[in-house]
Amino acid sequence: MPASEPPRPSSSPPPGRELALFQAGELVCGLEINCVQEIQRQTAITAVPRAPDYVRGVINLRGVIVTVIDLRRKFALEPRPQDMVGQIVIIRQGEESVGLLADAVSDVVAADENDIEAPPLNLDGVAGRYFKGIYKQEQMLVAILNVEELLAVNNE
Amino acid sequence: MAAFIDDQETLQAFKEESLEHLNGIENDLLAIEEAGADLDQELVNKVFRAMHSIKGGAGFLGLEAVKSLAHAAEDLMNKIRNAELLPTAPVISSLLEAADVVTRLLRQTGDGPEIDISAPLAALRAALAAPEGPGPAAASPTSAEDGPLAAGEEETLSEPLLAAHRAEVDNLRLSGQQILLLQYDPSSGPEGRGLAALLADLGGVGQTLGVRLGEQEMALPVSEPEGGRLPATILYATLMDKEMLIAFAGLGADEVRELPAVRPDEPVSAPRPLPTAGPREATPAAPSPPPSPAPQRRAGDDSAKSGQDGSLRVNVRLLDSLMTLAGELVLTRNQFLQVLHSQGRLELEAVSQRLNLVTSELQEAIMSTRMQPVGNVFNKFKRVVRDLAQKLGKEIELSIEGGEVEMDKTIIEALADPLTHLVRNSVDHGIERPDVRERAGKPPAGLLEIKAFHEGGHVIIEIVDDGAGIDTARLKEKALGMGSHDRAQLDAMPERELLKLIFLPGLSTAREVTEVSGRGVGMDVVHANLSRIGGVFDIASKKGRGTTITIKLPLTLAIIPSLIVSLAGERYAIPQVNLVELVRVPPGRVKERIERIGAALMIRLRGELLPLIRLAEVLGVEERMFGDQQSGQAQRCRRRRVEDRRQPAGREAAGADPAPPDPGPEQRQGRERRSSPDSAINILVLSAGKFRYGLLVDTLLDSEEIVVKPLGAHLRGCQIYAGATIQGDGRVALILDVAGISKVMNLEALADRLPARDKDMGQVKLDAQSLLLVRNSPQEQLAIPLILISRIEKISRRQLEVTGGRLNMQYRGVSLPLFGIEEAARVAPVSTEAAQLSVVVFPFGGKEIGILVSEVIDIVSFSAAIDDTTHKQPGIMGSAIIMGRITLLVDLFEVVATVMPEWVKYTQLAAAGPGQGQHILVVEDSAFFRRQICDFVSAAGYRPFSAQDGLEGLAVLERERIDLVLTDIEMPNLDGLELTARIRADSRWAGLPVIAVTSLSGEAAERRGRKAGVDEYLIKLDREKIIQAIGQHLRP
Repeated sequence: MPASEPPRPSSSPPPGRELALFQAGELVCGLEINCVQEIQRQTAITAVPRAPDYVRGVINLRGVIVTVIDLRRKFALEPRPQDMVGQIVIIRQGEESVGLLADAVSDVVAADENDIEAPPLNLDGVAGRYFKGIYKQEQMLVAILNVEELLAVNNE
Repeated sequence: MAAFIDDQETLQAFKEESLEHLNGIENDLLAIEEAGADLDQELVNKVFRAMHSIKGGAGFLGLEAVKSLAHAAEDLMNKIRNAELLPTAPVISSLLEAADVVTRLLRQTGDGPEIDISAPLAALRAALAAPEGPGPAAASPTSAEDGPLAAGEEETLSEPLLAAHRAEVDNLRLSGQQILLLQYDPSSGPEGRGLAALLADLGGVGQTLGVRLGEQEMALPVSEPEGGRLPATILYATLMDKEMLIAFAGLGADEVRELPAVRPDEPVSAPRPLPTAGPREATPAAPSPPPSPAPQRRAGDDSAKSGQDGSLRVNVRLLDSLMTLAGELVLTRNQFLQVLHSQGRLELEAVSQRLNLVTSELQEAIMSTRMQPVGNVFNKFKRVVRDLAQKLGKEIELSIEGGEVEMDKTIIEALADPLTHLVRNSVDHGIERPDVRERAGKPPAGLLEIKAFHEGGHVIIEIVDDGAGIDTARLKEKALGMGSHDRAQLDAMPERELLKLIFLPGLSTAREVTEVSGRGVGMDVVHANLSRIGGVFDIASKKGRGTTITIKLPLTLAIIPSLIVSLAGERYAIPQVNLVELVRVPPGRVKERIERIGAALMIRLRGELLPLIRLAEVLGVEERMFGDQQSGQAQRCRRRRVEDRRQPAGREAAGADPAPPDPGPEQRQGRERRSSPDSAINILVLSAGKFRYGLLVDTLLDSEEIVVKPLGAHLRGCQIYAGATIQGDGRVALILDVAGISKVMNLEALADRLPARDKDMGQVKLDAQSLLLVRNSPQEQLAIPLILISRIEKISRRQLEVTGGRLNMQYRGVSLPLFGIEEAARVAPVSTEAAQLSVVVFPFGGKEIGILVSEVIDIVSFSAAIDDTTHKQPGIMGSAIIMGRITLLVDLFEVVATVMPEWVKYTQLAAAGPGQGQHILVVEDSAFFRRQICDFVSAAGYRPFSAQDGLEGLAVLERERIDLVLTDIEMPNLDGLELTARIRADSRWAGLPVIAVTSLSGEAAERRGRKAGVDEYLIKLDREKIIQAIGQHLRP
């Protein structure tokens, strides 16, 4: 199974948090590593007609049906190219596992707490509430995901 | 720690054992009541012993409430046993109630409201006191086995120290400490140790709450009393084991006494946050091992709770994981099979077979551990019906059948409530009071039947009463009053649809709201609850005659047989339990079969209009498909046209317009999307419980056993899915929720708009035959009764062999002789060009024979007249118009008998052949079948007498000496069941064998037949079996 393991446990507790970084469109997202259960290459996703728009479909994860949420759709980014093979970040939501479909998982970094800021006010828009912080890297900004908000079930 | 586990285990074992006792007690008590003065000693003893052992165990474990009740009940049983007391209804009622309360006490685990035992205890005491003075249980001297306990208890209550430190004690108990009363005896213990020294020792491992010297409580810390060493009493709290404490403090065993928990009827002091019976009961008294701290105890309670849900002594979690494993194994097998098919490697075959076998066996074995008899639920109804009938002043005879039928534990548990509701309904609203019944000319006692049986891989539960039936006129009024329907809609509704109004929320037909039912919690709730466990519900009722409720249930929820369909490249599973039938509309018939009202599609099915919806529309996958149309789809469409052209001339036009009339853009699309090679329309007739509808699907794939997996939280809002399953290739397929689809598509509303069905409904169902349509040449359609066929095989021409001048093929390791219909009859021969042929396999004289045909067309249900003269010839029974064409009905038996006359002697026909000219009455309304049966009966050496219906049959019986009756079931005037019942009721025809021959099969039909007194239940046209059965019954 093509699951990339979480990184080596650091010998001394890092000053900040360990973040898994992944790409969704032009957005770089970060997720605290202890939220991540595993990372899967995108396999056959079964579409679920009449499901909420942000649900990409369901996959079979070793006999368990896992709902896959398309981050691009969730953040109202432009749709993925047809032939792109993404990666699915599996996270726990209470009793069940949920998959987040990202374009690619890029890195795992130890983020210094000092480099993390509250989301700026201009980031409120539709997607704003899905982020709980911004991590400033040298070349780019990473949006740290608010998992609770992201996975909130709205069956309107 | 070990002690704690033991304790929990003992408690759990006691509870389970007691609940088992109690389970039986109810029925025993009811039987005792029924027997009255005519005492069944054995039964009374049994109940007495049960109560006795519950009392003993409860005493041992300190379950005071349970003990008191069991004790009083035991006393009462003792009086009944000694014939000092009659088991009258009030006495039995008090015992039943006591049993109920004890059950509840035992089930209670810690949370929940306090259970008050004063009422049942009082009732028991009243019953006990009634005949001969007072003898209340608790006041009576305690029997030997609970002597020491009771003494300890008395002391507990009289101990002034305890009274003084009540609040403290309660708090400490809550935190898991045990409370001990220590007797300081200066004459024992280590030499010269004073009270203060003892207290100092004790202080290290617990807490001294108070010390009493005589009647005087001493101030703490205690100093050595003046005037020498005196005996003292110490109230002490510790986490330590009692035995360890005894050893540690050097006390005598009789000097340390545990204080049992408070009595339930005692007022509870303030600081107890949750005054429940549970924890108190769980705190053990004297001889049991001491408890351990609170957190663990609480955990123990939890495990007790989960273990209590069933009498399975296996950890349910383990079972569940076994179930998952079995499911996985099924999936692996599916994957394996898929690999096998794609590679076709022979050596894999043996392995696959083995895997297949093992999987099925494992699955079965594991499932069976979860299977429980439905009788567990049914038996409760004896009590429910008795109590209710008593309360309502009704007389009810309850008959329970099929209690041994097993279903998954989950289903059985979920079934209890809805069934109880239905049974109560029958008793309350269905069956009338004796006086009303007598006025209606019915026996005063109503009959309520509850039965379970297997049918077609499902369990059917029927609740039948002979009561007043459902008043559809009142249902109409109610529905009008609620504004759910208007008058015109209701007037147009056929009776069966009207009955389904009862499922409307808030509709109750009880004239007045009674205590028993009619509280607005109606059939809608029952319906919803049953649907949740995959039950399908049907209701039939005749005013004044009674009501029959039929519930069809799956055997298990975890693995269900399903039909797999595909649409737009995805697969979907539809639970077989919802599937009523498959209708395939051939291209040429679409126009006339499928109609529209507004935008709604429907099909006329046996005179009834069935609303149709397209799966594509349900799933909303239309647009995407349409978009693709330009590119890939066009290709496919063209190819299909070409195929159509290859079809016979008559289909040319059909191929050009296979879609329903008025093909708007939407329609056209529907047509183009159909990807099945023959472009017919597949309709799944589905039952959503309340009504039926047809679902149009692209392609039908396999029938598969699928493992149901739940969908995640984000998808719970989608009502159209019941879950998902994993297919052979590892992909996920969604399981459609048939009832959910009807809700989402708002089909109820659509169904209401449908015009009432045609009037010619009555006759069509009579003797409907399933026929297999085949052909050798495009011009000639042939039909074979499906019921005679073992199976149909598609073969390639290369598999044919010629041996000894006859066609054969190798089949499952043996040689299968093949016949062409044209060998016996003047029909077109099997095509000499087609590479693929079909073989219809059927049994003949103990072996299998194949009939070779060019093509299998369809399976149809057919019930119109058969012309048995115009086209009659060897191998052909007659002809009929089927799907607009003259169709010859093939007589399989005669085909073989004509070609190979010598083979007939191997058949039962010949074996039983020496019929001695006995007289056989053939009762059959269809002239065609009558003649068929008479023909082969006389060919076998019997003399047939024929009659067109039951009445005629009776007339013949009056007139002639008849040795055996062969009767059809469905007939006008007097049907076969009624005829049989009349024969059985007449002593002149005692012992006359009656064989039912019918086109209906299935356990239910057969059961009805057996009930009416039919000796044998056979399929029409299976002449070998019929002749064999006649031979057996006429043999002396």
